[in-house]
Amino acid sequence: MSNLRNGLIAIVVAVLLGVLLRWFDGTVLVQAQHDASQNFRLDGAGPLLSIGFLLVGGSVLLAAALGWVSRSPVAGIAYLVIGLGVALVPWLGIGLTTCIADGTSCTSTFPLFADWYFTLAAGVINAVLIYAAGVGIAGVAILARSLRGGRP
Amino acid sequence: MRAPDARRKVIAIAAAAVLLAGLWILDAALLSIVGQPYEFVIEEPGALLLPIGYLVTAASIVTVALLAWGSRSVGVAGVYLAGGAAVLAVPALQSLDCPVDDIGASACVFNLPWAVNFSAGPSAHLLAGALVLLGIAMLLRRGLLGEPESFSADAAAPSEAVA
Repeated sequence: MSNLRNGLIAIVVAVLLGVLLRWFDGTVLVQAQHDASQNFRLDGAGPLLSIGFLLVGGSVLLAAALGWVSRSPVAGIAYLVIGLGVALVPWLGIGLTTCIADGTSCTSTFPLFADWYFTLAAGVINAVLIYAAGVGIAGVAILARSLRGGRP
Repeated sequence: MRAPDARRKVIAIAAAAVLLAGLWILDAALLSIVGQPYEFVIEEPGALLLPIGYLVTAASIVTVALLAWGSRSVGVAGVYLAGGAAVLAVPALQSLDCPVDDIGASACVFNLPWAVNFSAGPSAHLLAGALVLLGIAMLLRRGLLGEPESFSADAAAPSEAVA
């Protein structure tokens, strides 16, 4: 029960971190780049970019650590499905296309994923997609430990 | 310091350096195939290569974290902190007091033409961010828990004490 509770906490924190990264990358960094191009000055955008890199790296480590210490297979499954699902959105939305017979016109096979891609990738450093990949890999590690009976 | 501990530290530092360089090359290769990050017109094979690039970046962060945490070394923490901060400083230094005129010419305090290529993709910088935080976390763990420099050597000590 304690593991389940810790796992749910890890999942909620991981999702919140993803929302935070989407906001920082898609709003703060994009606005900073816009301002830099308007003012012809890059002073503000550079340090913010470095902060963004720190945020993404830290978020991957924090989410992975929370999932690992929770020892919850539920967290592992959620990390794996959500993390890898989001990381594969570019391929699902843009890569899988359906073309008419002569191949001149192609559309996305899964238009919903294409919409998600344009929403999630609307940043400067692809923060959400890389973070999601990290969460997915952490999910694999958590599940592997669960299947081995809790041994690391 | 015992040979296995020294080897573990060298592996942790070497792996971080190799992965940083590898991600930089990966980014450059991906960008040459897929196009710039702000271009949304992406077709095969770029759409599949992008998630692979994300996974490689994330796996690099997790790998370095495991190696560093396992080494339990202040030296490794210091190298990670300094190296990661140096890489992260590149975008900030590059843009320091750096007005750009309308034809793209600039007069920066730090003129780092090589940094433009180095900053082409985010992957190496993301790993650098993780290195900085890992270094801080390892130093905090040492400070808060007062752990010895070499955990594994201490763990092996009792049998030797008997001998």
